[in-house]
This record gives sequence, C-alpha cells and structure tokens, in this order.
Amino acid sequence: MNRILNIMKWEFMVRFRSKMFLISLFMPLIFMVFSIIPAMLMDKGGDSEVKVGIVNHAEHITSKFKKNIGNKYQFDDGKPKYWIFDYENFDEAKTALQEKTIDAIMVIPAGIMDTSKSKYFARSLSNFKVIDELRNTLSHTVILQRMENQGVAVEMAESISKRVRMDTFEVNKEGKLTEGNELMVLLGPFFFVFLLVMAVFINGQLLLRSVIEERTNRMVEILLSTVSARELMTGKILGLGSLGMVQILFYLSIGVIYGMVKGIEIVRFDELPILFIYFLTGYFFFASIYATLGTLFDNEQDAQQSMSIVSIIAMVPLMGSFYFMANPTALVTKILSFVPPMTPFMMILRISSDAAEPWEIAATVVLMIVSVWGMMTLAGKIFRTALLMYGKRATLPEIWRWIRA
Amino acid sequence: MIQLQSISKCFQEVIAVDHISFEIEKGDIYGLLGPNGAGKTTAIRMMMGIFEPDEGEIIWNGHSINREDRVNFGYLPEERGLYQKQKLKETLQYLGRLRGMSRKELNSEIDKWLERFDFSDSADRKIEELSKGNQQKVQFILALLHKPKFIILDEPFTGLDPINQVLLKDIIQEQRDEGVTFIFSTHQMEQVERLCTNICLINKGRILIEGPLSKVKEKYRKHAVTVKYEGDLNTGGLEHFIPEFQLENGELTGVLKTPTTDFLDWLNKQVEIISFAHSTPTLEQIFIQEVCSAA
Repeated sequence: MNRILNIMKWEFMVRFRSKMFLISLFMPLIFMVFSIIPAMLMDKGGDSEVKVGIVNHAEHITSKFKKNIGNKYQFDDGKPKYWIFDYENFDEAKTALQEKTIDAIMVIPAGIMDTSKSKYFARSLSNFKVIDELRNTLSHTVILQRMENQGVAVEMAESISKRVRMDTFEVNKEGKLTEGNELMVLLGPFFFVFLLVMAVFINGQLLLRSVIEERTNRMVEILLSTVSARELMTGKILGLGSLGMVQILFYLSIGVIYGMVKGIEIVRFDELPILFIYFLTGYFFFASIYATLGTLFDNEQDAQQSMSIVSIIAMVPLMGSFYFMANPTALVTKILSFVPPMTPFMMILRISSDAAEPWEIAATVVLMIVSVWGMMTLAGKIFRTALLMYGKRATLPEIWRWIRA
Repeated sequence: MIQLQSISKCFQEVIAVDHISFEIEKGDIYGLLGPNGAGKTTAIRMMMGIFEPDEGEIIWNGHSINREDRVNFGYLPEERGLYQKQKLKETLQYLGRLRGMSRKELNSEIDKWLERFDFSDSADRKIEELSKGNQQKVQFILALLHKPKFIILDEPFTGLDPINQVLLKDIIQEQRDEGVTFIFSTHQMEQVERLCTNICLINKGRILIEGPLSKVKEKYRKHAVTVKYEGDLNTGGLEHFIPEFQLENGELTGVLKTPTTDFLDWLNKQVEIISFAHSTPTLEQIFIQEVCSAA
C-alpha cells in the first residue's frame, strides 16, 4: 500500500509541477472562451448602425415600416439603429450595396399584402439579428395593415397582435422554483460530461505517455524489481486520477462561481456525490485501457491509432449530448446508458437532466463497479506481460493468451 | 544466502533458462558469465522478481523468496535509463522511498553518495543535463542507496572512464568487506578475474562451468599448454587437439581437449619440441574454449 502511495505521489507531483499541466488546465477554458466570444459578438453585432436601402413598390407599407422600425430599435442615446434610404430601382441599390454606402437592401413588392413575400440582400447573411429584426418588423407592419383594412382600429390592432411572452422556470425536487434559462439547463449536463471527457482524455494521454516513457528509459526494470506490475499500474492510475480530480474541482469551482455571478444553478450539490461515482468509475475504466495501450506500443505515434478508437467511444455521448438530453427516455438513450464505456457519460447527462430512474442509477453504478474491476484485472494481466516486451508488437492471439494465463 | 534450485524460464518456444542451479554465499562477488543471449539477464530478472520462474525455486536465507526479501536487493540493469526531465536528488528520493527508507535515513544516504561521486553541486540538476557516464554513476547509486544486502550489477563498467572504474571497484570491494553479496555479470573477463571469487558460465540457458574461480583455473591448468618447437606445423590436424590456439614465433598456446600424451605423440611426429609446459589459462581462454566446444 505504501508503495502504491509513493508511486501515486510521484506521478501526481511530476505532472502537477510541469508547465504542461498548467497549459492543459487552462487550455479548455481558453477554448471555451474563444468559442463563446464569437457567439456573444454575434449577439451584440446588431448594436451598430445599419443602413438599409429599400426598393419601394408599396409606398403605404414602406412608410409604416420606416416608422415602426424607427420606434422599435433605438440605441440608449435615442439614436435610431436602422437608417433607411429609398431607391428607385434595384440596380441603383445594388451599386450602393457594392460600394458599401448601405449594408442591406430590402425589396418590398407592390403585392406584399397578398403574397406575403419580400426580399433581403446583403454582402453577407451572417448577421441573424439584423435579418430577424427587419423581418419581424415588416411582418408586424403587414399584419397591422391587414387588420386596419378589415376595419379594426389601429390601437385595437396593436393590442390584438401583441405577442405573448413566456417566462421559463425550473422546478427541482424540493419544489423550489428557479427562473430558468433554457441554454443553461442544457449547459449544466453538457458541462459535466465535458469535464469527464477532459479528465479521461488529458489524464489518459498522460498515463499512456508515462508508461511508454518508463518502458523506453528502462526505469521499468528498476521499478519492477521493487514493486509488482499491479502496484505500478494502480499507483500510476491513482496518481493521474488525483490530478484529474484537481482539474475537475478547478473547473467545477469556476462553474459554481460563474453560476453565482449569473444567478443560475449550473451545479446541483445534491447530485455531486453520484456524479463523482460516475466520474471515478468512468476514469478508472478508461485509465486501465490507456495504461495497457502504453505497454503495447514503443512510442506515442504508434499508439495514436488505437487511442483514437478509444476516444471515439467516449466522444459519442458528448457529440450526441443534445439529442440524449432532449430525449432522455428514448430507447437508444436508455440502451447506451448500459454500455459500460458510455455509461458514466450517459448517466451524467441523464441525471443532470433529471431523467434517470433510481433503479437505473443503482444498476449502472453496480455495472460500472463490476466493469472497472473486470477491466483492471484484464489490463493488469496484459500490463504485467507486455511491460518488458520490446521491439516486437504484441499480436491479438498473444494478448488473448496473456489474458487467459 | 541465495540459492537457485533448478530454475527454468521459457518464452513461447524458446528456453531462455534451462534448469540452472547455483548457490552464492554471503560476502561473495559472484561472476555470472556467458555470451550474448545465454540467458544471464533472464536469470537475473527471475532473481529480482521481475519474472517468475516456470520451474524451480529461489531460496533466500533458507526460505522460498518473497517480495519483502527483495527489498534487500539492489539492481543495476544492463539496459540503462532514468527520468531525464527529473532532478537528480528527487529521483533518488523517489526510488529510496519506494524501497521503504525513512526520510531521515534517505537524505543522509543521498548526501553521502552524492559527495562520494562528486555530485554535491548537481543535486538539483535535471538528469538530462548530466553526461552519460555520470548518469551511469547515478544508476549505481540507485542500486546501493537503500543499503541492500545483495546487489546485482549487470555490466557496471561499460562506458566509464578508468578513474570512475577504479572508484566503482573500490566501492564494490568496500561493500563486500561489510558483508554485502554481489552478482557481477559482464563480458569483461579481466574484471571478473580481478573481482570475483566464484563464477558461473552459462550458454544457451545451461551451466557450462560453475565453482570457485581458482578451482576452475586449476582444472584448466592441466589442459592449458605452452609448447616451443622448431619445424613446420600442420595446423589442420592441430584443431583436433586444441580447437582455439595461438601460434607465434614458434610458440603454441591453447587449451587441450584430448589427453596430453596423445597430443605429444602427434606433435613429436610433426616438429621438434624444444619445451613443453602446463600454463594457467586466462578466463577469456576458458570462456572461448567452453562456449566454442558447446556450440
């Protein structure tokens, strides 16, 4: 036990103090920030002036549209967001668009009241917010005009066509209501699965590298003369597992702080213990595979191919996470929850979406514990034999023989 | 102290070690010799517990050996390597602790050995910053840091300059005087002659010669001959008597494999014998003679 602790401590400290660890700790954060910034920019993108050229064939609608959009979209200082310019014909407007005098063209045809059709042209269609605002305002203007034509008074028409607002709330087990944000409800489970995937991949890779390194520098001979192969493997897995826990706690605290600042509950503390069980069993399952792969290859490049197969299995729940969260009781979601390599990821998704039955939680925890035990026994057998094999790549029949030995 | 009782190890179809038995007494420096691929490293790995023997048993101080006994073992493998990115002192501390040393004892031993090997200023340097020879000395320290009672050194002198070779030899002899037992595996026969009291020569997994070095030499003394002669010698026929021989300026040396009288009868018919003497063979001559006749 003491020897396992010593190996664990060494593996932890060597990596914890390395620059690579700091980089790997902040890399996902930087990655996340960089993927959020463009979305935020896109959202804020409508906050600069937009010059819209209108090719007008329906004078009445156009003048009301101009009024509505001027009233509806203004900056804080009262200046209008949309500046409207009239054009006699499309070609003239198109030249202005190409010369960047205007940012977009709207063609409002004479028959818009009947056809409900209009056209929008821009140098790029990426600014959804602008398109949305222009479309909504035009649509609203046409609807109001139709009501007016039917003899409905303007004020009444306004009040009839007023949109309904729906505020969303999340109800937890204790019946507490929290004002919800649909995005955050999805983000919570996704965040946890992302954490597990990061922990598995980063530390799995470190584990594999550490085994290959000790095989290449032959330290393994000295180590095996002092500790058993099983102790060595266990110590390494635990050492890098603790490192993974440090990473997870780090991200978790960032999540909690972010949630507190935003006033939303990303992390449900009552769910943490069960989530940790899935984290641990999931990590141990994959770690034993990575440790074994380290013994089967002489360098990282050769191991890469096999590693990517393992990684794809772990990536399936992450890639399909939005489907699984939207359909937590679908048959495919339930079946994948009982496939050991995917169980932890799937169950984290389902528990965070409050869609797992207690018996399913109990059954999958037992399943994972049994699978981890089986996988570690299997890995231990291969690890012990393959650790001192150099040069010659082990074949599948050979591996099968070691497992049965 | 340690006894190998008919141990064997196979790797698939290949028999690496085939029923080897020998016993090493406390304070001995025991030479384990053999050509490349003879099975030395496999035998050593079984003693170190890296492999389990398929057959036979290893006895340590009267009982079947277990992992705890091996805490008393030190090992310098032939395959050299260290954690290149780690600091010298920390590497020593890690392996010392793995072998159950207390922090206090560990630090005093580390300081003692670093000073002895002139590493005091390099304690906090990364291993990769040390020269190859110096890295080898670090591995030697690793083998004896935890005050083992039994140390296996596989080719400890290769790559070291003569000054460091002497330093290593002095330390081995000091440790031997304190009762530490050594197994010394090498191809450098002159080192074995200088250091070892007992030897074991293995080839293709089997023992060819085993016993005290002096007795082995004495036995071969009867066979080792030096002849001075005059005339033309038919070397083709000579191989029948002496498989590996040296001829120089009318002097023939080698180890006889037939009775001396038969050889002299034959030689008398070929040349005029000026002098004939039994000589003590070098270990290298014995090694070549035995390995070649076994082939």
